[in-house]
Amino acid sequence: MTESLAFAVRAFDCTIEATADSPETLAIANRYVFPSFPRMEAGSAPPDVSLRLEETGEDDTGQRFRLSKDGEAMASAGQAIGLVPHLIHAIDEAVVQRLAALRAVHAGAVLLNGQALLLPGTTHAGKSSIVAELLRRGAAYFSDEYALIDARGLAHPYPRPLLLRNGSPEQSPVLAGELNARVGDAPAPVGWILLLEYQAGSSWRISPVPQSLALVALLQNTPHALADAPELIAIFERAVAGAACYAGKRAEAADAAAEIIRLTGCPA
Amino acid sequence: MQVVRANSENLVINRLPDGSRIFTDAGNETVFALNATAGAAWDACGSATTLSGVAMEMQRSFDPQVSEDLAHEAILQLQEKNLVTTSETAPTTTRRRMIASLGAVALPLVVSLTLSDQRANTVLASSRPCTAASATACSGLR
Repeated sequence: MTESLAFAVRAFDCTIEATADSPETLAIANRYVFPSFPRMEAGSAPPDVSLRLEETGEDDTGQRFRLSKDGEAMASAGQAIGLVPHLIHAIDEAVVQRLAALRAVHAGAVLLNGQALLLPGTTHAGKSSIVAELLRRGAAYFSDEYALIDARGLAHPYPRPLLLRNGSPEQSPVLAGELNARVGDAPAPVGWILLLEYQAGSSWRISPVPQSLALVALLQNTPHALADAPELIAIFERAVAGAACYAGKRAEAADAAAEIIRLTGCPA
Repeated sequence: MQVVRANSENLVINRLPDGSRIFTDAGNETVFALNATAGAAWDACGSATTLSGVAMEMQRSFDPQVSEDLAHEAILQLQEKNLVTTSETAPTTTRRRMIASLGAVALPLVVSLTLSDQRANTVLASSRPCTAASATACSGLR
């Protein structure tokens, strides 16, 4: 039996334990499990979710590495790095399910001049691509997946690695630092909410929308059911109260990011 | 045309800094978003009134440029969401003409979201892997 290497991370209200079977797989886990959060010794607290990366030997489909969650295999890949998107999504699911005080909005989020900019949208809406372009233009990183909103309406960073496609159908993990961006480390008021829809060949066409409409958009992009969490209205009301809200069409991510920088008046 | 608020005793109303409103109707499990124009029309319907009365109150409290056509459009939108009742229904041809003739004041807007639709959306709002198969549905990922 190979030696087990492990660490734990406390992320919001969730304790994540990561184990590996080799220095190589441990390094992958250490690099991509909330890299900006401090590490704890495995076993120092009961884990809410246990994730294991290991090399299993090549199977008949050519897969050599496996990711397990709470003891059950959930994905396999030819290279350990190929398991990272699955690792990140497993962590997302575990963390969001256990949020106690914070509420999640499915949104890209960056920090510009001390205010958070939110880009609510479903998977495949292009949040990560725009966030990456904004980071290249000087924004600080909050998240490419979730903005966490507290009872005061402030947005908190959810600094998982970005998952970018870079022209490939598969996602690849990228750290904010690889884009020369700083990772946000404190909550910030929401300054802007942009409801953008991609349209190939479109020019940038957005218009101001009422804060109430942006609030409904947040309700449409949260993994929490309003029937179970009626406090969402008050929390999101505080989040939108200081925000300039817009909706409209965008084209490519780089163009959209340049327009966003212009709109917010924040220097690149 | 007489205009009366409907179901207002079941509504929790929040006014946002830009004048827009969020109405929560616990009984019908629906959230409504009104822009400032529709919110002003709602305010003007505080007591049973006429369309002319609504327009005059909106001119006084919201914007002097509010026309009776604009007030009418706001009332129709509130009526479509069962937030007000009126003594008559405007034909759609009349409505189209009215919309075309509206002036500088922002058009009224009322949108709604049921709790069941909101719950259904929670699945889409959860983190999911973007696989090669699902990537064909991706848009705007450049």
